[in-house]
Amino acid sequence: MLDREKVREIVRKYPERRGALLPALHLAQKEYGWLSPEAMKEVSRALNLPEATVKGVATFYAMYRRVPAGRHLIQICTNVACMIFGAERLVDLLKERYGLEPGGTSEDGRFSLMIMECIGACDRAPAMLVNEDYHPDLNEERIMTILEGYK
Amino acid sequence: MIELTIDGKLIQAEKGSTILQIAKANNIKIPHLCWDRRLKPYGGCRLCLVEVEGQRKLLAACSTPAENGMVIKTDTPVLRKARKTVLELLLVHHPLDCPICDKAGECDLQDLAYQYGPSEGRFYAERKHDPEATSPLIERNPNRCILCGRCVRVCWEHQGVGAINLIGRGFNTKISPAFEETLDCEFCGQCVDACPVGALGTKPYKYRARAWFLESTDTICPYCSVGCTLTLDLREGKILRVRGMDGVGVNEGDLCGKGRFGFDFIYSEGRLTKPLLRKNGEFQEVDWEEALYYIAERLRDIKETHGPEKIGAIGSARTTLEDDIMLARFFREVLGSDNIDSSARLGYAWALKGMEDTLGIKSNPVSLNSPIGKEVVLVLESDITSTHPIFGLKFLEAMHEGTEVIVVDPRKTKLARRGNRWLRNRPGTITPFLYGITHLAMKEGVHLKKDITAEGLDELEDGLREYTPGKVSELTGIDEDLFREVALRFINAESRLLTLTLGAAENQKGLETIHAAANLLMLLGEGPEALQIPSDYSNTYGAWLAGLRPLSGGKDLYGMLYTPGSLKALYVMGEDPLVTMPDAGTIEENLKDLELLIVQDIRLSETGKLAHVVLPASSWAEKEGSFINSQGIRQMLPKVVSTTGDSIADWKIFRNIARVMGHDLGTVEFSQLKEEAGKIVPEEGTRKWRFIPPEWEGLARTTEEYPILMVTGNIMQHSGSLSVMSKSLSHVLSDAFVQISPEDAGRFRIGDGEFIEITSPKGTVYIKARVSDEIPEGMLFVPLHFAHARVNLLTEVSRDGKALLTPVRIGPRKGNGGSPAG
Repeated sequence: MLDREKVREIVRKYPERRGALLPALHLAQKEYGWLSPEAMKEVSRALNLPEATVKGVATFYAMYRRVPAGRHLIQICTNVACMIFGAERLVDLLKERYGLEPGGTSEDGRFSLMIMECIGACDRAPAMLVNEDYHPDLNEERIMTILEGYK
Repeated sequence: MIELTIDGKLIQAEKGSTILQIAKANNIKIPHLCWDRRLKPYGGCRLCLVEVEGQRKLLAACSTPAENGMVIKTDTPVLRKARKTVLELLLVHHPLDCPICDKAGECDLQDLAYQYGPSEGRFYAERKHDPEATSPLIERNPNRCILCGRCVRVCWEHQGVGAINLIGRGFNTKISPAFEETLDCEFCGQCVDACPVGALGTKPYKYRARAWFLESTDTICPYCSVGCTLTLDLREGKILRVRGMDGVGVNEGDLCGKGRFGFDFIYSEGRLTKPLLRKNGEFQEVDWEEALYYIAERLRDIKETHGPEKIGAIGSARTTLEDDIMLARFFREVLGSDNIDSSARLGYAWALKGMEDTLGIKSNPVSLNSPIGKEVVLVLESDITSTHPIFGLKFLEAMHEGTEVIVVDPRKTKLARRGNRWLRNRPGTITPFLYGITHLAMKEGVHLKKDITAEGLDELEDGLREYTPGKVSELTGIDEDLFREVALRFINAESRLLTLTLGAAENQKGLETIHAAANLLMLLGEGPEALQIPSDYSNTYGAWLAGLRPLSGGKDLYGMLYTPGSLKALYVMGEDPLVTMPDAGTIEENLKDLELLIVQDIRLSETGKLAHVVLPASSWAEKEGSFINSQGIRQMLPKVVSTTGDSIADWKIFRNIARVMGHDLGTVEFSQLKEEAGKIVPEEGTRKWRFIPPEWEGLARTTEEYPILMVTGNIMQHSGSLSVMSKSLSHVLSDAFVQISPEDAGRFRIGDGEFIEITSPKGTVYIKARVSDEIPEGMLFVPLHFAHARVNLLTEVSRDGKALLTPVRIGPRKGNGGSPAG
């Protein structure tokens, strides 16, 4: 269940309920791992906004997930700097080791992978985010060590 | 004021207007697809681009505010090229299925493509192949959609519903309900009128006619008292659809579902085509001559044997003013009886009485735009967006323009959901709520500052002493601090409005509510304009003004329908008391005792089934006439279609009976009657104020045996007992239901969709339950439209006009399943 107190806290920050929609969707996504139709309906009820409004916003932004995600979300950058330093090789590695396709989830539900546009870490490329943790200076060995820390 | 030049023409305009608004006002045509007068500028379609001197880019006229000294061009080679390209891009994905599209011939996209070209596109892409989505009344063809978003914005911004949205992004965007489910909304159809292409259409009109074969005529809606102008589109003499025309009529083009889809009641299979005469207990079709001679003879007999005071008439809230005048004249001049009344007696008459008692006025027409610009508006236990949908929209519009709309209602109505604040009170406690505000206003001494004095002030002050915020909170169930805050907000506002409905179908408000509302407003120094109470139906107010009420001591509706033995003969025109009026059991007994019951209607009503003779009347579209709406405006109805069967206009029936009885009412032609009707004016009052001391009789009487309060009323898709004849409206809803709170459903073990048994001291009925959080614990809401539900067997009639909620007990239907007849 969505923590109604947290929703109310969000609502208080904005002059209109509609303003609270983006953070409320983030809250729901954090709670459930993704935005299921039920999660969106819950946000709709909590904010007293039509379901269609919630769905429209949730489907507009790329960072809302509308398919179930694994326990940990890997977001890896493949833009220019990261690409030059071998990010694409890392993506292939994740596929070999965990069977992870970009946009997909490993069979054991442990990891989901998203290919990101630049995450602003070009000086320490290649880089990724795991959940909300920042991991720069990746190579094949390092990425495996890091990911083994996420069970 | 600013001054600017458009296409070489020097124009003065209000500061803050957009270029498009100014161009429109000056009859300069700029093309557009996504713009809608009612909505915030969107700037999505890029067709309204204009050149502004000194600006390097082309600007969208719809979203660019005009500035002083601007020099604007709306039609140049550069603009033509830009528009052509925009259209070219729109047509990449738009299917060219105009030959089978209902919009062809009146399609904005088609017209613009014709005007600007191109004849061939440079781009090719896969067109969309989404399946068409259907629903009870609205069809969506997603492939034709150009994603201008007008439907989405009309639905949310203007209607306050939000049933659909743009789902997804980029090429994959599509307009749909949240989860691609079947559309389940109000079915107002405003999205259909807003759609500039053929992506949205109405189901009843699909594949019925090419637009260029249609003939259009404007008329007035037969449902509620707003009196919207409907644009009827006919082919070969048959109405195929109804549209609202931007800017036309009191509704300025807005329509609700009843107005848009409900017209087809005139084509109902249940229409009467010939007079029916009961012979040996059975109805037989007879010709007019036989029916009229029978009626003339029986009325003459009864008049001679029992006297004219034993003959009465119940008129209609939906027949025309001209019909009403003739009924009244027939009764007064030919029969010599003043026993005449209408359903207004049960609702609007009490509102009028309440306002006369207090404000000293005999009429108080509403003003549709009254909520706009007010600081605070209170909506009191009234579902205005359902009963008077287009008036209801004005409250949303006002809210968008900064008015604080506060709704006090046990039901979670649309305005409760969309308004700025919603206070959930116990059903039937609006009166003490108003007493509480008045009490606080007196404590604040508002009336002293404004020097308000009128008869009854001291008594009012005495009577209100007990209605402290604490007491009001206890009675209404509203939090004390919240009540105090809202009350003070209302009292201290610069401008304010109170609104409520007092319909014949409603039982939670009454005369005492009107007194309480008027007391409060007078104390704050407000006049009648601050109290907005719309009349019920299309001609409720007209019937009242035309004299469908006792004027010289005759019997009123209570005396005729609820007093055993008061009449020997009753003439019912266009009303179905057995369905629409409370305590139907008593009415039925009294009707059965009559020596003569004449029912004149467009179909065989429940009341008609008890009649000795039934006369077929022409419907609203089949005769000339006029309605007086809740604003007091008389609006003319043209005759649009030919009459059904042998039916004739109500007024002609009275003219004919009078002739058969040897009386000439002096009226031969409609034109004479029209002139007579034109002379009707509302009565003035003394305008002398008087305060009425509190008279509320305490919380409605629930007992251990009857622990739940049943509230009755009208719902969004229906209106009285007329709308159930409409096939279209019945597609949305044709079955009776009762709304029950999740708490009570759990407590009484009632599942959604199950038949439940409702028992009041008057009787028992069985209705399907709808479990809904729109209703609080301890309350039921039941619409009265459906004859088969017989809800009015449970209700009581309030002879003094006071609110009379019905205490009931409920339970699962014994032996669930099987027929509901019990």
